[in-house]
Amino acid sequence: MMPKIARLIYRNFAINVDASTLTVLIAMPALYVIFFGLGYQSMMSGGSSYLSFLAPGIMASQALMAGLFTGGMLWSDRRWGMLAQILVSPFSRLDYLVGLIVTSISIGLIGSAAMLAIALALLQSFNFTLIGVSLMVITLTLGSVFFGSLFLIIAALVKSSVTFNSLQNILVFALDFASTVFYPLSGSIPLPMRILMAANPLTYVADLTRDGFFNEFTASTAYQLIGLAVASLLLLYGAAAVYSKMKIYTQ
Amino acid sequence: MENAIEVNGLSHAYDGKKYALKDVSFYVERGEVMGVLGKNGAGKTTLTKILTTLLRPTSGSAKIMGYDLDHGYEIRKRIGVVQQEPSMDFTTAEGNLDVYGILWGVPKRERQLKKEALIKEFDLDDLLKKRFFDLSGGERRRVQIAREFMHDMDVLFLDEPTIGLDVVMRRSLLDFIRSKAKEGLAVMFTTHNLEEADYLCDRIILIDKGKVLAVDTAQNLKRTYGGMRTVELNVEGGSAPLYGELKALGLNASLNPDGSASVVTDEAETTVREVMKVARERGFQLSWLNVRESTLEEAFLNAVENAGRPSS
Repeated sequence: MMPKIARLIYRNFAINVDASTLTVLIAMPALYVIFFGLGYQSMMSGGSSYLSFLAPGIMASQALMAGLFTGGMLWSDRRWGMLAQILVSPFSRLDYLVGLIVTSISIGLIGSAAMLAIALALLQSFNFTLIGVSLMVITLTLGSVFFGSLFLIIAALVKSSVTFNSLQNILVFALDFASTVFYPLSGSIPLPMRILMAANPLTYVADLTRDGFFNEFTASTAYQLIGLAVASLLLLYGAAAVYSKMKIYTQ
Repeated sequence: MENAIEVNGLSHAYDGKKYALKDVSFYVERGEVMGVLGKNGAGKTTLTKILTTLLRPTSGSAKIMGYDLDHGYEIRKRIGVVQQEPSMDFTTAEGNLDVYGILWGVPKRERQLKKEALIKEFDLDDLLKKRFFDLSGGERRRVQIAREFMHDMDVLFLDEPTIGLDVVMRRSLLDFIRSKAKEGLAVMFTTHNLEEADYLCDRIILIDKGKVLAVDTAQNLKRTYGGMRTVELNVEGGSAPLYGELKALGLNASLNPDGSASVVTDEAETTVREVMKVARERGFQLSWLNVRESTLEEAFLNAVENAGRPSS
Protein backbone atom coordinates (compact mmCIF):
# COMPACT_ATOMS: atom_id res chain seq x y z
CA MET A 1 0.00 0.00 0.00
CA MET A 2 1.21 3.51 -0.82
CA PRO A 3 2.18 5.61 2.23
CA LYS A 4 -0.65 7.94 3.22
CA ILE A 5 1.11 11.17 2.22
CA ALA A 6 1.85 9.65 -1.20
CA ARG A 7 -1.85 8.79 -1.55
CA LEU A 8 -2.80 12.39 -0.80
CA ILE A 9 -0.24 13.70 -3.30
CA TYR A 10 -1.51 11.23 -5.89
CA ARG A 11 -5.04 12.54 -5.35
CA ASN A 12 -3.89 16.16 -5.60
CA PHE A 13 -2.39 15.45 -9.01
CA ALA A 14 -5.09 13.08 -10.24
CA ILE A 15 -7.90 15.48 -9.43
CA ASN A 16 -6.32 18.80 -10.24
CA VAL A 17 -4.05 18.28 -13.22
CA ASP A 18 -5.95 18.57 -16.48
CA ALA A 19 -5.48 20.37 -19.79
CA SER A 20 -6.41 23.80 -18.46
CA THR A 21 -4.14 23.42 -15.45
CA LEU A 22 -1.24 22.38 -17.64
CA THR A 23 -1.91 25.39 -19.83
CA VAL A 24 -1.60 27.71 -16.87
CA LEU A 25 1.36 25.89 -15.37
CA ILE A 26 3.42 25.07 -18.41
CA ALA A 27 2.15 26.59 -21.65
CA MET A 28 1.74 30.16 -20.40
CA PRO A 29 5.19 30.48 -18.82
CA ALA A 30 6.65 28.71 -21.84
CA LEU A 31 5.12 31.37 -24.06
CA TYR A 32 6.66 34.04 -21.81
CA VAL A 33 10.07 32.44 -22.28
CA ILE A 34 9.64 32.13 -26.03
CA PHE A 35 7.95 35.43 -26.93
CA PHE A 36 9.40 37.73 -24.26
CA GLY A 37 12.78 36.03 -24.43
CA LEU A 38 13.13 36.25 -28.19
CA GLY A 39 11.11 39.44 -28.63
CA TYR A 40 12.90 41.64 -26.12
CA GLN A 41 16.21 40.16 -27.18
CA SER A 42 15.83 42.03 -30.46
CA MET A 43 15.72 45.36 -28.56
CA MET A 44 19.00 44.72 -26.79
CA SER A 45 22.44 45.52 -28.13
CA GLY A 46 25.71 43.99 -27.08
CA GLY A 47 26.49 40.47 -26.02
CA SER A 48 24.09 40.04 -23.11
CA SER A 49 21.18 37.67 -23.73
CA TYR A 50 17.74 38.64 -22.42
CA LEU A 51 16.57 35.08 -22.96
CA SER A 52 19.22 33.73 -20.62
CA PHE A 53 18.26 36.44 -18.08
CA LEU A 54 14.55 35.71 -18.38
CA ALA A 55 14.71 31.90 -18.32
CA PRO A 56 15.77 31.51 -14.65
CA GLY A 57 13.31 34.29 -13.78
CA ILE A 58 10.44 32.34 -15.31
CA MET A 59 11.73 29.20 -13.58
CA ALA A 60 11.51 31.13 -10.30
CA SER A 61 7.98 32.31 -11.07
CA GLN A 62 6.99 28.64 -11.28
CA ALA A 63 7.36 28.56 -7.50
CA LEU A 64 4.73 31.31 -7.36
CA MET A 65 2.48 29.37 -9.73
CA ALA A 66 2.92 26.25 -7.59
CA GLY A 67 1.83 28.22 -4.53
CA LEU A 68 -1.17 29.56 -6.39
CA PHE A 69 -2.12 26.06 -7.45
CA THR A 70 -1.76 24.73 -3.91
CA GLY A 71 -3.91 27.47 -2.39
CA GLY A 72 -6.51 26.71 -5.04
CA MET A 73 -6.55 23.05 -4.03
CA LEU A 74 -7.24 23.87 -0.39
CA TRP A 75 -9.89 26.39 -1.34
CA SER A 76 -11.59 23.95 -3.66
CA ASP A 77 -11.50 21.14 -1.09
CA ARG A 78 -13.04 23.45 1.50
CA ARG A 79 -15.63 24.79 -0.89
CA TRP A 80 -16.75 21.41 -2.21
CA GLY A 81 -16.67 19.40 1.00
CA MET A 82 -13.67 17.22 0.23
CA LEU A 83 -11.57 18.62 3.05
CA ALA A 84 -14.13 17.46 5.61
CA GLN A 85 -14.38 14.12 3.80
CA ILE A 86 -10.62 13.59 3.86
CA LEU A 87 -10.43 14.58 7.52
CA VAL A 88 -12.90 11.83 8.45
CA SER A 89 -10.75 9.36 6.49
CA PRO A 90 -7.51 7.91 7.87
CA PHE A 91 -5.59 11.18 7.55
CA SER A 92 -4.80 13.89 10.05
CA ARG A 93 -4.91 17.61 9.40
CA LEU A 94 -1.12 17.54 9.36
CA ASP A 95 -1.08 14.77 6.73
CA TYR A 96 -3.30 16.86 4.51
CA LEU A 97 -1.11 19.95 4.98
CA VAL A 98 2.09 18.02 4.28
CA GLY A 99 0.42 16.54 1.18
CA LEU A 100 -0.35 20.03 -0.11
CA ILE A 101 3.13 21.40 0.60
CA VAL A 102 4.86 18.44 -1.07
CA THR A 103 2.48 18.82 -4.03
CA SER A 104 3.44 22.50 -4.19
CA ILE A 105 7.15 21.64 -4.21
CA SER A 106 6.62 18.95 -6.86
CA ILE A 107 4.68 21.31 -9.12
CA GLY A 108 7.29 24.04 -8.63
CA LEU A 109 10.15 21.72 -9.55
CA ILE A 110 8.36 20.05 -12.47
CA GLY A 111 7.29 23.42 -13.88
CA SER A 112 10.79 24.87 -13.48
CA ALA A 113 12.33 21.82 -15.14
CA ALA A 114 9.97 22.29 -18.09
CA MET A 115 10.97 25.97 -18.38
CA LEU A 116 14.61 25.01 -18.16
CA ALA A 117 14.18 22.50 -20.95
CA ILE A 118 12.52 25.11 -23.19
CA ALA A 119 15.22 27.69 -22.39
CA LEU A 120 17.98 25.22 -23.12
CA ALA A 121 16.39 24.32 -26.43
CA LEU A 122 16.37 28.02 -27.36
CA LEU A 123 19.77 28.92 -25.92
CA GLN A 124 21.49 25.77 -27.16
CA SER A 125 24.31 26.25 -24.70
CA PHE A 126 24.63 25.59 -21.04
CA ASN A 127 27.24 25.24 -18.37
CA PHE A 128 25.68 23.67 -15.34
CA THR A 129 27.50 22.52 -12.26
CA LEU A 130 26.31 20.32 -9.43
CA ILE A 131 26.43 23.28 -7.05
CA GLY A 132 24.50 25.45 -9.48
CA VAL A 133 21.77 22.87 -10.04
CA SER A 134 21.58 22.14 -6.30
CA LEU A 135 21.20 25.85 -5.59
CA MET A 136 18.37 26.07 -8.12
CA VAL A 137 16.60 23.02 -6.67
CA ILE A 138 16.93 24.24 -3.07
CA THR A 139 15.81 27.75 -4.03
CA LEU A 140 12.81 26.56 -6.00
CA THR A 141 11.85 24.17 -3.20
CA LEU A 142 12.00 26.97 -0.64
CA GLY A 143 10.14 29.28 -3.02
CA SER A 144 7.39 26.71 -3.49
CA VAL A 145 7.12 26.30 0.29
CA PHE A 146 6.95 30.08 0.75
CA PHE A 147 4.29 30.73 -1.88
CA GLY A 148 2.45 27.51 -1.08
CA SER A 149 2.21 28.69 2.55
CA LEU A 150 1.15 32.19 1.50
CA PHE A 151 -1.74 30.95 -0.62
CA LEU A 152 -2.70 28.32 1.95
CA ILE A 153 -3.14 31.11 4.50
CA ILE A 154 -5.35 33.01 2.05
CA ALA A 155 -7.35 29.87 1.19
CA ALA A 156 -7.82 29.14 4.89
CA LEU A 157 -9.03 32.63 5.74
CA VAL A 158 -11.26 33.75 2.88
CA LYS A 159 -14.95 33.01 2.85
CA SER A 160 -15.95 33.42 -0.80
CA SER A 161 -14.74 32.33 -4.21
CA VAL A 162 -14.84 35.90 -5.50
CA THR A 163 -12.50 37.11 -2.76
CA PHE A 164 -10.18 34.17 -3.24
CA ASN A 165 -9.94 34.61 -7.02
CA SER A 166 -9.50 38.39 -6.79
CA LEU A 167 -6.73 38.11 -4.21
CA GLN A 168 -4.99 35.46 -6.31
CA ASN A 169 -5.04 37.61 -9.44
CA ILE A 170 -3.81 40.76 -7.71
CA LEU A 171 -1.06 38.95 -5.83
CA VAL A 172 0.23 37.02 -8.83
CA PHE A 173 0.38 40.15 -10.94
CA ALA A 174 2.04 42.24 -8.22
CA LEU A 175 4.52 39.56 -7.14
CA ASP A 176 5.47 38.62 -10.70
CA PHE A 177 6.01 42.14 -12.04
CA ALA A 178 7.40 43.81 -8.90
CA SER A 179 10.26 41.34 -8.84
CA THR A 180 13.42 40.58 -10.80
CA VAL A 181 11.69 37.88 -12.88
CA PHE A 182 11.45 40.08 -16.00
CA TYR A 183 14.02 42.83 -15.36
CA PRO A 184 16.89 43.48 -12.95
CA LEU A 185 16.68 45.70 -9.89
CA SER A 186 18.53 48.77 -11.13
CA GLY A 187 18.97 52.34 -9.98
CA SER A 188 16.93 53.65 -12.90
CA ILE A 189 13.75 52.11 -11.46
CA PRO A 190 11.74 54.58 -9.28
CA LEU A 191 12.52 54.24 -5.56
CA PRO A 192 9.06 53.06 -4.39
CA MET A 193 9.12 50.27 -6.94
CA ARG A 194 12.68 49.35 -5.97
CA ILE A 195 11.53 49.05 -2.36
CA LEU A 196 8.66 46.85 -3.46
CA MET A 197 10.98 44.68 -5.51
CA ALA A 198 13.45 44.38 -2.65
CA ALA A 199 10.66 43.38 -0.28
CA ASN A 200 9.26 40.80 -2.69
CA PRO A 201 10.40 37.24 -1.87
CA LEU A 202 10.08 36.31 -5.57
CA THR A 203 13.01 38.69 -6.24
CA TYR A 204 15.23 36.49 -4.06
CA VAL A 205 13.91 33.28 -5.60
CA ALA A 206 14.64 34.72 -9.06
CA ASP A 207 18.10 36.05 -8.10
CA LEU A 208 19.14 32.80 -6.44
CA THR A 209 17.87 30.73 -9.38
CA ARG A 210 19.90 33.02 -11.67
CA ASP A 211 22.98 32.53 -9.48
CA GLY A 212 22.57 28.77 -9.87
CA PHE A 213 21.85 29.08 -13.60
CA PHE A 214 24.98 31.14 -14.24
CA ASN A 215 27.15 29.54 -11.52
CA GLU A 216 27.74 32.90 -9.88
CA PHE A 217 28.10 32.41 -6.15
CA THR A 218 28.90 35.31 -3.82
CA ALA A 219 28.40 36.04 -0.13
CA SER A 220 25.09 37.61 -1.12
CA THR A 221 23.98 34.23 -2.49
CA ALA A 222 24.44 32.64 0.91
CA TYR A 223 22.70 35.48 2.76
CA GLN A 224 19.78 35.46 0.38
CA LEU A 225 19.44 31.70 0.63
CA ILE A 226 19.44 31.81 4.42
CA GLY A 227 16.94 34.66 4.37
CA LEU A 228 14.67 32.77 2.00
CA ALA A 229 14.90 29.61 4.10
CA VAL A 230 14.01 31.49 7.30
CA ALA A 231 11.14 33.35 5.62
CA SER A 232 9.78 30.12 4.09
CA LEU A 233 9.88 28.23 7.38
CA LEU A 234 8.28 31.13 9.27
CA LEU A 235 5.50 31.40 6.72
CA LEU A 236 5.01 27.63 6.74
CA TYR A 237 4.67 27.80 10.52
CA GLY A 238 2.14 30.62 10.10
CA ALA A 239 0.23 28.62 7.49
CA ALA A 240 0.14 25.60 9.80
CA ALA A 241 -1.18 27.78 12.65
CA VAL A 242 -3.90 29.41 10.54
CA TYR A 243 -4.80 26.09 8.94
CA SER A 244 -5.11 24.31 12.30
CA LYS A 245 -7.74 26.84 13.39
CA MET A 246 -9.45 27.04 10.03
CA LYS A 247 -13.16 26.32 9.73
CA ILE A 248 -13.52 23.19 7.66
CA TYR A 249 -16.72 24.22 5.93
CA THR A 250 -17.28 27.34 3.86
CA GLN A 251 -20.98 26.67 3.30
CA MET B 1 -18.59 -8.05 22.78
CA GLU B 2 -17.87 -4.34 22.99
CA ASN B 3 -20.40 -1.92 21.52
CA ALA B 4 -19.54 -0.21 18.24
CA ILE B 5 -20.35 3.22 19.66
CA GLU B 6 -20.49 4.23 23.32
CA VAL B 7 -21.28 7.79 24.28
CA ASN B 8 -21.21 8.99 27.87
CA GLY B 9 -22.26 12.45 29.04
CA LEU B 10 -21.13 14.10 25.84
CA SER B 11 -21.55 17.90 25.68
CA HIS B 12 -20.43 20.48 23.20
CA ALA B 13 -20.65 24.24 23.47
CA TYR B 14 -19.85 26.49 20.53
CA ASP B 15 -17.80 29.51 21.64
CA GLY B 16 -17.77 28.01 25.12
CA LYS B 17 -21.33 29.01 25.98
CA LYS B 18 -23.94 28.04 23.38
CA TYR B 19 -24.60 24.36 24.02
CA ALA B 20 -25.31 22.29 20.93
CA LEU B 21 -25.20 19.03 22.90
CA LYS B 22 -25.87 18.50 26.59
CA ASP B 23 -24.98 15.35 28.49
CA VAL B 24 -25.72 12.93 25.67
CA SER B 25 -25.39 9.21 26.40
CA PHE B 26 -26.25 6.15 24.31
CA TYR B 27 -24.69 3.13 22.68
CA VAL B 28 -24.91 1.39 19.32
CA GLU B 29 -24.30 -2.32 19.04
CA ARG B 30 -22.46 -3.96 16.16
CA GLY B 31 -24.88 -4.72 13.37
CA GLU B 32 -27.40 -2.24 14.73
CA VAL B 33 -28.91 0.66 12.79
CA MET B 34 -29.43 3.59 15.14
CA GLY B 35 -31.59 6.44 13.86
CA VAL B 36 -30.99 9.98 15.04
CA LEU B 37 -34.08 12.16 14.85
CA GLY B 38 -34.38 15.79 15.75
CA LYS B 39 -35.51 19.17 14.51
CA ASN B 40 -33.16 21.46 12.62
CA GLY B 41 -30.47 22.66 15.01
CA ALA B 42 -31.25 19.89 17.52
CA GLY B 43 -27.58 18.87 17.64
CA LYS B 44 -27.62 15.87 15.29
CA THR B 45 -24.85 17.07 12.99
CA THR B 46 -22.73 18.28 15.91
CA LEU B 47 -23.03 14.78 17.38
CA THR B 48 -21.93 13.23 14.08
CA LYS B 49 -19.01 15.65 13.77
CA ILE B 50 -17.79 14.77 17.27
CA LEU B 51 -18.08 11.03 16.74
CA THR B 52 -16.26 11.27 13.41
CA THR B 53 -13.47 13.29 15.11
CA LEU B 54 -14.08 16.52 13.18
CA LEU B 55 -15.00 18.33 16.38
CA ARG B 56 -13.79 18.01 19.98
CA PRO B 57 -16.43 17.68 22.71
CA THR B 58 -16.45 20.22 25.52
CA SER B 59 -16.95 17.43 28.04
CA GLY B 60 -17.91 13.78 28.27
CA SER B 61 -16.46 10.84 26.43
CA ALA B 62 -17.17 8.52 23.53
CA LYS B 63 -15.68 5.33 22.18
CA ILE B 64 -15.85 4.08 18.62
CA MET B 65 -14.95 0.40 18.25
CA GLY B 66 -13.24 0.62 21.61
CA TYR B 67 -11.14 3.69 20.81
CA ASP B 68 -11.81 6.91 22.66
CA LEU B 69 -11.91 10.20 20.80
CA ASP B 70 -8.24 10.93 21.55
CA HIS B 71 -7.36 8.13 19.12
CA GLY B 72 -8.74 9.92 16.09
CA TYR B 73 -6.63 8.08 13.54
CA GLU B 74 -7.65 4.64 14.84
CA ILE B 75 -11.28 5.71 14.76
CA ARG B 76 -11.10 7.17 11.25
CA LYS B 77 -9.58 3.93 9.94
CA ARG B 78 -12.72 2.11 11.08
CA ILE B 79 -15.51 4.43 10.04
CA GLY B 80 -17.25 5.57 6.90
CA VAL B 81 -18.99 8.92 6.68
CA VAL B 82 -21.55 10.26 4.23
CA GLN B 83 -21.87 13.87 5.20
CA GLN B 84 -24.91 16.05 4.87
CA GLU B 85 -23.02 18.46 2.62
CA PRO B 86 -22.25 17.24 -0.89
CA SER B 87 -18.59 16.36 -1.32
CA MET B 88 -17.02 15.32 -4.58
CA ASP B 89 -13.80 15.71 -6.48
CA PHE B 90 -13.78 17.60 -9.78
CA THR B 91 -13.51 14.54 -11.91
CA THR B 92 -15.84 11.93 -13.36
CA ALA B 93 -18.09 9.76 -11.22
CA GLU B 94 -15.79 6.83 -11.96
CA GLY B 95 -12.76 8.96 -11.12
CA ASN B 96 -14.32 9.74 -7.77
CA LEU B 97 -14.72 6.05 -6.98
CA ASP B 98 -11.17 5.24 -8.12
CA VAL B 99 -9.42 8.10 -6.34
CA TYR B 100 -11.36 7.51 -3.15
CA GLY B 101 -10.37 3.85 -3.20
CA ILE B 102 -6.74 4.84 -3.66
CA LEU B 103 -7.01 7.39 -0.84
CA TRP B 104 -8.17 4.57 1.43
CA GLY B 105 -5.33 2.34 0.25
CA VAL B 106 -7.65 -0.30 -1.22
CA PRO B 107 -5.59 -2.73 -3.37
CA LYS B 108 -6.16 -2.45 -7.13
CA ARG B 109 -7.94 -5.77 -7.65
CA GLU B 110 -10.22 -5.24 -4.66
CA ARG B 111 -10.89 -1.70 -5.82
CA GLN B 112 -12.02 -2.94 -9.20
CA LEU B 113 -14.33 -5.56 -7.68
CA LYS B 114 -15.86 -3.10 -5.26
CA LYS B 115 -16.33 -0.53 -8.00
CA GLU B 116 -18.12 -3.01 -10.24
CA ALA B 117 -20.43 -4.08 -7.41
CA LEU B 118 -21.25 -0.49 -6.48
CA ILE B 119 -21.91 0.54 -10.07
CA LYS B 120 -24.49 -2.23 -10.20
CA GLU B 121 -25.94 -1.58 -6.74
CA PHE B 122 -26.30 2.19 -7.21
CA ASP B 123 -27.15 2.04 -10.92
CA LEU B 124 -24.20 4.23 -11.87
CA ASP B 125 -23.51 2.84 -15.35
CA ASP B 126 -24.75 5.91 -17.20
CA LEU B 127 -23.02 8.32 -14.85
CA LEU B 128 -19.51 6.90 -14.87
CA LYS B 129 -18.06 9.26 -17.48
CA LYS B 130 -20.01 12.30 -16.36
CA ARG B 131 -18.03 14.96 -14.57
CA PHE B 132 -18.98 16.53 -11.25
CA PHE B 133 -20.66 19.60 -12.74
CA ASP B 134 -22.67 17.54 -15.22
CA LEU B 135 -24.34 15.45 -12.51
CA SER B 136 -27.69 16.41 -10.98
CA GLY B 137 -28.02 16.79 -7.21
CA GLY B 138 -29.49 13.30 -6.82
CA GLU B 139 -26.82 11.77 -9.06
CA ARG B 140 -24.06 13.42 -7.05
CA ARG B 141 -25.62 12.04 -3.91
CA ARG B 142 -25.67 8.53 -5.37
CA VAL B 143 -22.00 8.74 -6.29
CA GLN B 144 -21.15 10.20 -2.88
CA ILE B 145 -22.89 7.36 -1.05
CA ALA B 146 -21.54 4.64 -3.36
CA ARG B 147 -18.02 6.04 -2.99
CA GLU B 148 -18.11 5.50 0.76
CA PHE B 149 -18.47 1.77 0.23
CA MET B 150 -15.20 1.62 -1.72
CA HIS B 151 -13.56 0.81 1.61
CA ASP B 152 -14.38 -1.56 4.45
CA MET B 153 -15.58 -0.16 7.73
CA ASP B 154 -17.03 -1.16 11.08
CA VAL B 155 -19.20 1.89 11.69
CA LEU B 156 -21.02 4.02 9.12
CA PHE B 157 -22.29 7.53 9.79
CA LEU B 158 -24.99 8.65 7.39
CA ASP B 159 -26.09 12.25 7.76
CA GLU B 160 -29.34 12.67 5.84
CA PRO B 161 -28.10 10.52 2.98
CA THR B 162 -31.37 10.26 1.07
CA ILE B 163 -31.81 13.96 0.34
CA GLY B 164 -32.22 14.32 -3.42
CA LEU B 165 -32.72 10.61 -4.09
CA ASP B 166 -35.82 9.39 -5.90
CA VAL B 167 -38.19 6.97 -4.17
CA VAL B 168 -36.82 3.85 -5.84
CA MET B 169 -33.19 4.71 -5.13
CA ARG B 170 -34.09 5.72 -1.57
CA ARG B 171 -35.71 2.38 -0.84
CA SER B 172 -32.89 0.53 -2.54
CA LEU B 173 -30.35 2.43 -0.41
CA LEU B 174 -32.20 1.64 2.81
CA ASP B 175 -32.30 -2.06 1.89
CA PHE B 176 -28.60 -1.98 1.02
CA ILE B 177 -27.79 -0.45 4.41
CA ARG B 178 -29.95 -3.05 6.10
CA SER B 179 -28.04 -5.83 4.32
CA LYS B 180 -24.73 -4.29 5.41
CA ALA B 181 -25.98 -4.10 9.00
CA LYS B 182 -26.83 -7.81 8.83
CA GLU B 183 -23.18 -8.40 7.97
CA GLY B 184 -22.21 -6.61 11.20
CA LEU B 185 -21.93 -2.97 10.20
CA ALA B 186 -23.06 -0.52 12.88
CA VAL B 187 -24.89 2.45 11.38
CA MET B 188 -25.78 5.85 12.74
CA PHE B 189 -28.49 7.17 10.46
CA THR B 190 -29.39 10.82 10.88
CA THR B 191 -32.56 11.82 9.11
CA HIS B 192 -35.57 14.10 9.03
CA ASN B 193 -37.56 11.46 7.25
CA LEU B 194 -39.46 9.60 9.96
CA GLU B 195 -40.85 7.04 7.56
CA GLU B 196 -37.30 6.05 6.63
CA ALA B 197 -36.28 5.86 10.26
CA ASP B 198 -39.27 3.66 11.02
CA TYR B 199 -38.44 1.40 8.09
CA LEU B 200 -34.72 1.04 8.66
CA CYS B 201 -33.70 1.65 12.25
CA ASP B 202 -33.46 -0.91 15.03
CA ARG B 203 -33.53 1.86 17.61
CA ILE B 204 -33.94 5.61 17.44
CA ILE B 205 -32.51 8.50 19.44
CA LEU B 206 -34.88 11.43 19.77
CA ILE B 207 -32.83 14.56 20.30
CA ASP B 208 -33.96 18.12 20.89
CA LYS B 209 -32.07 21.25 21.92
CA GLY B 210 -28.94 19.16 22.36
CA LYS B 211 -30.55 16.74 24.81
CA VAL B 212 -31.52 13.13 24.28
CA LEU B 213 -35.26 12.82 24.88
CA ALA B 214 -35.46 9.08 24.37
CA VAL B 215 -33.60 6.09 22.96
CA ASP B 216 -35.81 3.15 22.02
CA THR B 217 -37.25 1.08 19.21
CA ALA B 218 -39.66 2.84 16.86
CA GLN B 219 -42.43 0.60 18.20
CA ASN B 220 -41.77 1.54 21.81
CA LEU B 221 -41.40 5.21 20.98
CA LYS B 222 -44.80 5.14 19.32
CA ARG B 223 -46.25 3.42 22.36
CA THR B 224 -44.63 5.76 24.83
CA TYR B 225 -45.05 9.05 23.02
CA GLY B 226 -47.69 8.35 20.43
CA GLY B 227 -50.58 8.91 22.84
CA MET B 228 -53.88 7.62 21.48
CA ARG B 229 -54.26 4.50 19.37
CA THR B 230 -57.14 3.59 17.12
CA VAL B 231 -59.12 0.33 17.32
CA GLU B 232 -60.59 -0.28 13.89
CA LEU B 233 -63.36 -2.83 13.34
CA ASN B 234 -65.81 -4.14 10.81
CA VAL B 235 -69.01 -6.11 11.43
CA GLU B 236 -70.57 -8.49 8.94
CA GLY B 237 -73.76 -6.89 7.68
CA GLY B 238 -72.69 -3.39 8.79
CA SER B 239 -70.92 -1.80 11.74
CA ALA B 240 -73.52 0.85 12.56
CA PRO B 241 -75.40 -1.13 15.28
CA LEU B 242 -72.16 -2.02 17.13
CA TYR B 243 -70.99 1.57 16.75
CA GLY B 244 -74.20 2.69 18.50
CA GLU B 245 -73.61 0.23 21.36
CA LEU B 246 -70.02 1.39 21.82
CA LYS B 247 -71.03 5.03 21.71
CA ALA B 248 -73.66 4.31 24.36
CA LEU B 249 -70.93 2.86 26.57
CA GLY B 250 -69.15 6.21 26.40
CA LEU B 251 -66.34 5.13 24.11
CA ASN B 252 -64.86 7.63 21.63
CA ALA B 253 -66.29 5.75 18.66
CA SER B 254 -66.98 6.92 15.13
CA LEU B 255 -68.54 5.44 12.01
CA ASN B 256 -66.36 5.67 8.93
CA PRO B 257 -67.63 6.38 5.37
CA ASP B 258 -66.52 2.89 4.25
CA GLY B 259 -68.91 1.33 6.77
CA SER B 260 -66.28 0.36 9.32
CA ALA B 261 -66.13 1.81 12.82
CA SER B 262 -63.22 3.01 14.92
CA VAL B 263 -62.56 3.81 18.55
CA VAL B 264 -59.80 6.20 19.58
CA THR B 265 -58.30 5.19 22.92
CA ASP B 266 -55.26 5.42 25.14
CA GLU B 267 -55.96 1.92 26.50
CA ALA B 268 -56.07 -0.18 23.36
CA GLU B 269 -55.98 -3.57 25.10
CA THR B 270 -58.92 -2.72 27.40
CA THR B 271 -60.88 -1.24 24.52
CA VAL B 272 -60.36 -4.34 22.38
CA ARG B 273 -61.60 -6.53 25.23
CA GLU B 274 -64.65 -4.30 25.66
CA VAL B 275 -65.45 -4.29 21.92
CA MET B 276 -65.19 -8.09 21.76
CA LYS B 277 -67.35 -8.50 24.85
CA VAL B 278 -70.08 -6.22 23.47
CA ALA B 279 -69.96 -7.95 20.07
CA ARG B 280 -70.25 -11.40 21.69
CA GLU B 281 -73.09 -10.37 24.02
CA ARG B 282 -75.08 -8.66 21.27
CA GLY B 283 -74.35 -11.31 18.64
CA PHE B 284 -72.37 -9.18 16.21
CA GLN B 285 -69.98 -11.10 13.96
CA LEU B 286 -66.68 -9.15 13.76
CA SER B 287 -65.10 -9.65 10.33
CA TRP B 288 -62.07 -7.51 11.06
CA LEU B 289 -60.39 -5.93 14.09
CA ASN B 290 -57.17 -3.96 14.08
CA VAL B 291 -55.26 -1.69 16.45
CA ARG B 292 -53.54 1.09 14.53
CA GLU B 293 -50.44 2.40 16.23
CA SER B 294 -49.56 6.07 16.27
CA THR B 295 -47.11 7.07 13.61
CA LEU B 296 -43.52 7.82 14.49
CA GLU B 297 -44.21 11.37 13.43
CA GLU B 298 -46.93 11.71 16.07
CA ALA B 299 -44.63 10.19 18.66
CA PHE B 300 -41.79 12.49 17.67
CA LEU B 301 -43.94 15.61 17.81
CA ASN B 302 -45.34 14.63 21.22
CA ALA B 303 -41.92 13.82 22.61
CA VAL B 304 -40.51 17.17 21.47
CA GLU B 305 -43.56 19.07 22.68
CA ASN B 306 -43.49 17.39 26.10
CA ALA B 307 -39.68 17.56 26.36
CA GLY B 308 -39.39 13.78 26.49
CA ARG B 309 -42.17 13.12 29.01
CA PRO B 310 -44.31 10.16 27.95
CA SER B 311 -47.81 10.89 26.70
CA SER B 312 -50.53 10.23 29.26
